[in-house]
Amino acid sequence: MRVVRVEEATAGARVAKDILDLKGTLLFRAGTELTPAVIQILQTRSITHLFLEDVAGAAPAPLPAGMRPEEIDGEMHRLFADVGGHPIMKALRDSATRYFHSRVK
Amino acid sequence: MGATSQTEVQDRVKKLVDRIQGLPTLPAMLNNINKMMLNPRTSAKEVAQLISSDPSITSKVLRVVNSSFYGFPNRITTVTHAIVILGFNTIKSIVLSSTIFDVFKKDTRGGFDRQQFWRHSIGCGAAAKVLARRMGFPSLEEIFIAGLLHDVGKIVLDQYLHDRFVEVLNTVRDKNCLIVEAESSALGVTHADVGAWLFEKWNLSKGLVETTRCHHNPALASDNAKTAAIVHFADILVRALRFGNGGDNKIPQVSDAAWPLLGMDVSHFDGLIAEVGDEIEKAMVFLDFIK
Repeated sequence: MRVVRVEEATAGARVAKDILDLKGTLLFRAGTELTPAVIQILQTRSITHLFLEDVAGAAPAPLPAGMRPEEIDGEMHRLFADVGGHPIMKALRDSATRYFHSRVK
Repeated sequence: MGATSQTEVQDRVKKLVDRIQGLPTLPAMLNNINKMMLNPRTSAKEVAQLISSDPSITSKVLRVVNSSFYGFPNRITTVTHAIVILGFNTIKSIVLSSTIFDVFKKDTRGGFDRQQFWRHSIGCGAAAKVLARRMGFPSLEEIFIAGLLHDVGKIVLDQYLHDRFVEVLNTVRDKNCLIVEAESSALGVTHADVGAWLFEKWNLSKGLVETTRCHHNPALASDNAKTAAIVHFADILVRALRFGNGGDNKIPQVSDAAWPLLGMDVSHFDGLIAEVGDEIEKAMVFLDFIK
């Protein structure tokens, strides 16, 4: 799963998590395939980021500028999910997270 | 493959690569440079003449030596000048990486994102260079190249055993595992074994061969344990910085054998990561090689 900015999302990708608007109303369910129409709706409903399913060999999107700190934390916890219990790896995750926080400020 | 002996792995690699048809030979330019450099009487002018006979390589060498990666204040305009200032080994490394990028830049079958792969590789080279500099390692050039080329076995698998490699990528996606784990269970060998085999076949340095073979398991390295440890941790660092992608979306755990060799403390991580980020930006000039 990767996080992308809506303006960088391309048709054909699949949504990995339900998309809710600011009031919590479900807009699209996980598994929905992005089409130009879906992307347009997301933009008009002020959705800035969304989670997309990975495809084989695809890169995790670089952490986008403007990403909220809690979203960065979530991404880094996901990346380190299997190794975050190791003290060195935990320290690395925390340092990388601080680095990303400083970059998006 | 924990209990598998090195000989068994070699046999498996041999069986696998025996099926590969038309694997490229080491480009003649590099062979000739290697031969010239073995002769102590070779002059900078002679090597420059050879490099200058290939306009594409010449322009790449000049672009890299004038980039912020080397950071010289004055413009270097000739290959001879570049050799005099940077030395034979640096120029050879630039030619080596340029020619290997050239050999493997074709991506006609899809499925594996080469652009992201090379970004990961360049990032790993840059991270390895930073680690080596902090450790006072003698040859930063050698370590950059080792990081840059550590995953070349993946490209060999993608280009020459494409269907098997797509199976590996599908396993990575379905099981969300490391690519090296999927290769090991599907092929019995890994990209590290295949890359080392290729470099051995091309008569590249023993250090590069062993570092490539052991970058996922530096404990297996004998003469080049420190270099293997650096590339191993550089690979982890560049994944943590989410720079490029080598085919999976996971991060491996640092090897217990590698960590003590790095002489590092976790309190260094903040500064290290910032330095690696800066070095990666400078190293991006190498992306020109795949254009």
